[in-house]
Order: sequence, then structure tokens, then C-alpha cells
Amino acid sequence: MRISSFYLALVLGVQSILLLQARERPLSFVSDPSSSLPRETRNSLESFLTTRSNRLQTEVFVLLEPLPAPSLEEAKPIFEEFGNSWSEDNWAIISFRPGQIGAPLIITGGPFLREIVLETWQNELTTLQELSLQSWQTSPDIDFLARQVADSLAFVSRFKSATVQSLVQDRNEEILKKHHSDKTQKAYLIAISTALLLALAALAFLLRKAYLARKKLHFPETKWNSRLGAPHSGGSALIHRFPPPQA
Amino acid sequence: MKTSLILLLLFLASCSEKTDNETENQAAQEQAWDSSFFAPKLGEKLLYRETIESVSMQQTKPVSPENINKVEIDRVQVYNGPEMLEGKKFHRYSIYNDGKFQEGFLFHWTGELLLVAGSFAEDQKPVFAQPPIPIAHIEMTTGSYWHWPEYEVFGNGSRVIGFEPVKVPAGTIDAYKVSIKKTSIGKVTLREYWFAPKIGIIKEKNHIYYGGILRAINTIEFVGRADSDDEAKSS
Repeated sequence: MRISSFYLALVLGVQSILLLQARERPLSFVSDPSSSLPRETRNSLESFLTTRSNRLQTEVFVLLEPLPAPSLEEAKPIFEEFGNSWSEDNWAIISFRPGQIGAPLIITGGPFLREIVLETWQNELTTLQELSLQSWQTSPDIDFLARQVADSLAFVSRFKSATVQSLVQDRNEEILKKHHSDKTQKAYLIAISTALLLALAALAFLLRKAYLARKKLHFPETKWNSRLGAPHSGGSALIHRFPPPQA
Repeated sequence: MKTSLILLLLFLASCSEKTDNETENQAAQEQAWDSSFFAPKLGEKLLYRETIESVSMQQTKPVSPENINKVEIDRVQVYNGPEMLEGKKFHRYSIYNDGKFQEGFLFHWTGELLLVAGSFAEDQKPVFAQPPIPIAHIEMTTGSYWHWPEYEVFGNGSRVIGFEPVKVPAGTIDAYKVSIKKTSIGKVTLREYWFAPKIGIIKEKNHIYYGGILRAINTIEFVGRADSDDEAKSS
């Protein structure tokens, strides 16, 4: 918590310094006086940022120059001062300190940065910095970091005008609701069918029982022939035994 | 008896004709979408080149060029056509890597939203994704954003970064750039894809980080159509 607060303060503090320096538009999208980037990478990044500017009207400048680290006393929130720059348009300056692994990334920019939730933005920058350190290069991948931050800035500068989110979210919710309702419906259907079957079986059993209880069984009258001296009369179906003769 | 049998046959024949007409009308209605955004063609083959650069899971820093393993794959995406499943219309796409079936995807097009609705293996049996993952929207613009319920998919959602010209082997094509960052324990995936209306995804770049080091960069680029490369280049 302390570390993140420190970084936050550091970023805000340096922003105030940069704001003082950024009264004029930088001449180039990539300023690299110490030639930290290979020429090919530098040209590619310059072209990328120029296209961004032309297409999205979001100007992102990359400054690769060591800056003096601000003291904690100098670090203070100054977001309300963002408007005091050369332009009210969407612009930002990303400043790196090449050669220092883990050095803070410093950003300043136009009024649109005021709209950003600071904590979310800081988390995003920290993640991107960490990822740039995990590259296959021996030093932080500045080209990767600059492009990612420029993309994020282009996105957040237009985020307010986004319309798709609600549509897609509604769609997702609708699909999820339907999925859950389908599942519930299926469960209800199975439960109702089982209950109906059980009820039918019980009804059938009870009906049969009642029917059997009411049913009168009629047996044919039995007749046998008197056979004097014989122990019984009858055949295979009926046997009538005579009492033994009395003495 | 004979007359009634003939009448019955005639009645059945008239019924089947009516059903055909109804099917045609229904198909015509379903096809009536804006084909300037989503326009699949039955049997169409899109060719891609996939490059995978990776280091082993045991690799630590520093990483020398010899430690990076590079593989190139010819990837073909075939549109197998629409299919009705559970009362809904899906579009089936098969992916072949170096001529072998790799995976299949089910897309669902609502008329304004394109979703990856599921997948299928070689047995063609569909497995539906819950919820489906949106990949493009007819009204998307820079700053558009969508996400999924957190308990379903982890990540920062999909962000539309811009509509820009992209250089791929098939030529320079205007496409929407969409970025997604997914994080799970120890693993971060940074996915960027470019969606060109009427064609589909023309480029995809994935950075996969694990254990504090970049493990793989996976790049897929559109090379052209199998039937007519010139058409793809001109578009």
C-alpha cells in the first residue's frame, strides 16, 4: 500500500514538473536524444504514433530522456491543472528513463486525463511496466511499453463515447438469463413429470385396491355325491371329506 | 379407392411444395443482414500464416536468440456454412494447421453482434461456450468496451483501440483493433486482434507471460483467400 502510494505520488509529482515544461507541442512524436532505441524501432514507433494521431486525433508523444526525480515534497495532486497546456485536445506525453530498470513511467497530458480513475490507471501502468520488464531483451522493452500505453490512452480518451458496452452487456445478461431460465425450466419439467408419474402410479394402485375391496367373488355351489363308507367325495378340483363313521 | 389414393398423393405433393417455399422465404429473411460487416461465403478458405516464438518453461533471464524457438504454420480457415442448433443459427468454421484439422469454431451473428458461441472437435460435436464471447459489433468504435461476467472469464474485457490500416501479407487492410488482457495466477495473456468487416479477423497477436518472463509470442496474419488472392489484396 505504501509502495503504490509512493508511486502514485511520484507520478503526480513528475506530472506537475512536466506540465511546466509541456507548454509547447513537442516537435517529434519520439524524442530520443540519447539514441536509446535502434533507428528501425524508433522509425516504426514514430510511424505508429503518427498514424494514431491522424486516425484517432489522440497525440501521444514519447520522450526518452532522463529526468530529475522529484522529491516527495514536490509530489502533489495537480489533475485540476491539466487544462493549462498548449491544447485542449487529446494529447499525452509518455516519458521513460532508459537504462534504469523499473524506473517509473511518467505521463502527463491534456484535459482528458482528468476523467480517468487514477487508481485503475496506475494499476494498468504498473502492469504494463512489469510486462515490459519480462521481455526477451536485457533492458525494458520501451517500444512495447510505448505502444501499449499509447493504445490505452487512445482507448481512454474515447471511452466516454462508447456505446457497445451496454448492448453487449445486455446481450450477455440476456443469454445468461435465458440459459439459467432454460435450465430452471428443464428442472421444473423433469420434477413435474416425475411427480405426475408417481401420482399416476399411486392413483392406479389405490384404484386397484378399492376395486378389489369392492369386488365380490362368486364361487360356484359345490355339490358332492354321497359315497357310503368312503372317506371323501369329489375329484381333482374339490374334495369333501366325510366324518369318520361313529361307532 | 384408387381415386382417393391419387387425391391423397396430390395433397401430399402440394404440401411439400409449400414447405420448400416457406424454407426459401425463411432463408431469404435470415440472410437479410448487413453483409458489409459479416459476409461468410460457403466453402470460402482464408489462408493465414501463424508464427509461434517461444522459450521453454525452465528458461530464465537473460534470454539469448538461441533460446527462442520459432515455428511457422500454414493455417487455413474454412467456412462450413450455417447450421441450426437448438433452434438457433450458427456458422461453422474449421481450422486446419499444415493440412490437419486443428479445431473448429461456432460463430453466432445476431445481425449486429458477432459472437464465438462454441467450438467443436474432429467429431463435429458442438460444445457451447457459456456465455458466448463477443468479438465484434456493427457499431463498435474507438473507445467501445465490453466484458463478460467476472466469474465466467477473467480479464479486463475487450477494448476497441481504433480503426486503422494493418499491414498483413494479403495487403494493407482497414480493421478494428481490439485488445484484451487476461490475468490468472502467475499467467498474463495480452491478446490483440484486428477485425476487418466482411473478412473477419485478419491479424492476431498474443503475448503470453508466465513465471515473470515472456513465454510466447503467437502471431497470426491473413495471407489471402484460397480461391482468389487478388480479391483479398484489392479489398
